[in-house]
Amino acid sequence: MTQALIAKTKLADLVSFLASCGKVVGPVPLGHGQFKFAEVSSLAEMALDYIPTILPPKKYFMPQYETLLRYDGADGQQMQAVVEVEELVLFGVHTCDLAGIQCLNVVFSDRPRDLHYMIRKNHITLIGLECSDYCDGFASCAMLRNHLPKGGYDLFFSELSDGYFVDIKTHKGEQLVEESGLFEPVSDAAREQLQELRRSKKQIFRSEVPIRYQDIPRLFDETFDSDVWTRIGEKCLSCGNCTNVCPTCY
Amino acid sequence: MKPKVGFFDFTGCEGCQLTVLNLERELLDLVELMEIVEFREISSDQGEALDIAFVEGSICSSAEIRRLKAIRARSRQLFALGACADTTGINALCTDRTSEQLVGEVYGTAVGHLRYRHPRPLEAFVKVDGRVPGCPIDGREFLAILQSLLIDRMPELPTYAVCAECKLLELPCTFERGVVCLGPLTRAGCDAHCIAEGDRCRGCRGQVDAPRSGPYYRILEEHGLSEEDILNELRIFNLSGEKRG
Repeated sequence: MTQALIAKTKLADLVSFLASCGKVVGPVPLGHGQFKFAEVSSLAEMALDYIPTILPPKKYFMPQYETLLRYDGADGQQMQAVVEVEELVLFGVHTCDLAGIQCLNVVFSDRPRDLHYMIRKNHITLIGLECSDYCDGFASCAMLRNHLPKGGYDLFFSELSDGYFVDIKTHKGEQLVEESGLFEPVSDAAREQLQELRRSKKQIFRSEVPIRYQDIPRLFDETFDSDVWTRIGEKCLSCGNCTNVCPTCY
Repeated sequence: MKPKVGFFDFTGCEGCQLTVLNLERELLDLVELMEIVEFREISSDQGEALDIAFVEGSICSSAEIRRLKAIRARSRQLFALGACADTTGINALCTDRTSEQLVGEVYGTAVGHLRYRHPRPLEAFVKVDGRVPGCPIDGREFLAILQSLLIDRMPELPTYAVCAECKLLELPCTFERGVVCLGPLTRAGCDAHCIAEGDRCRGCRGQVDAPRSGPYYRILEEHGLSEEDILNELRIFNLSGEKRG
């Protein structure tokens, strides 16, 4: 089975099932229109129509603080490498954040490989969620073509009228679908609805900046000395938060 | 031999020393590692030579200058404990008046013998080896600084702003609710404590080494603050500017 359906009425049961198996993390509202990924035990705690969270889900792949090494000075400086890891389900990750994680995967699997990252990644189950419309007026996902799923997940949910179309990408995702017992086979009507969703998204999501996708690397090269960077730099507070909140910076 | 440590106070509320005493879980472990030879809030003992002196409060009189210099002379290392000692803190708020006016306002004219000077940070009178910023100090940061000193390393303060710590805690920015915050200019290390508790940053830890004041003032102006409003924000904790005198 590579695809499945789940009724909207069963989504809460799915979250409860996942939470009964281990730690589940999803987007929760913080007030003032802000959200963050945090541990949840039920669907009701989450806001699936969230705008990008203050910190992207990379915080689970690269924690801000982690023990890398333990040593005991009393015992001849015996050192032991440590990987602090826990099983985790990331629920409701939008395609922009999935794209960010895919970038990080490329960087950290390149030599020298970041073993801590690679080990932790294998303990995280990613459940993606498609955006049917823009989350806010600042999104630029269509420019980078990340408004559509491009892999990087175990399961991916697309909202239909009374259920979710679920793309199953990995064995881990397939096991989850089977063990929960909450999914059903895909119907032709559901397939048609998914195609309709994608057709409608084609109308909604247009490149937010009038440039061609393939020109982006060249444009960055050619504008390296442009005044635009000085003007942007003049606004900079040097707080370093651009790196903190970026889905791919580390 | 355990390092000898002393705590001293000048003009201030003594809240920073109290923060040290409030580290109840850690205090017993700490006295295993160091010898507290002077600490007026807990003991009447007086020591001689000190390895580390933690000095709280601003310096406001000739007598305080003499006492501070004497502490310096017998201490291998001297650390400013808290904003009053480090940057003059809120004590500096009085510098818009003359010392005669201040004495008159607080004590009246009958006590003409009071000799009061405008408060200044320790660094205006003696060499300061390091500092524990904040009003009051952060207990965890104090422990980290002390730990460094006990293994003979110089502690380092964060070079980034409170803004960065705040973001890492995923606290919604106070500007989102129309509240001005000094986080972008203020040195981190407090774990954005005030913002986490629903308040805003008032800059008690002093500014980062190279604050980007210009772009920040423009943001404040966009939020409707006048030049005087901005100065009032900064005056709360960051008036001093006066170091070695």
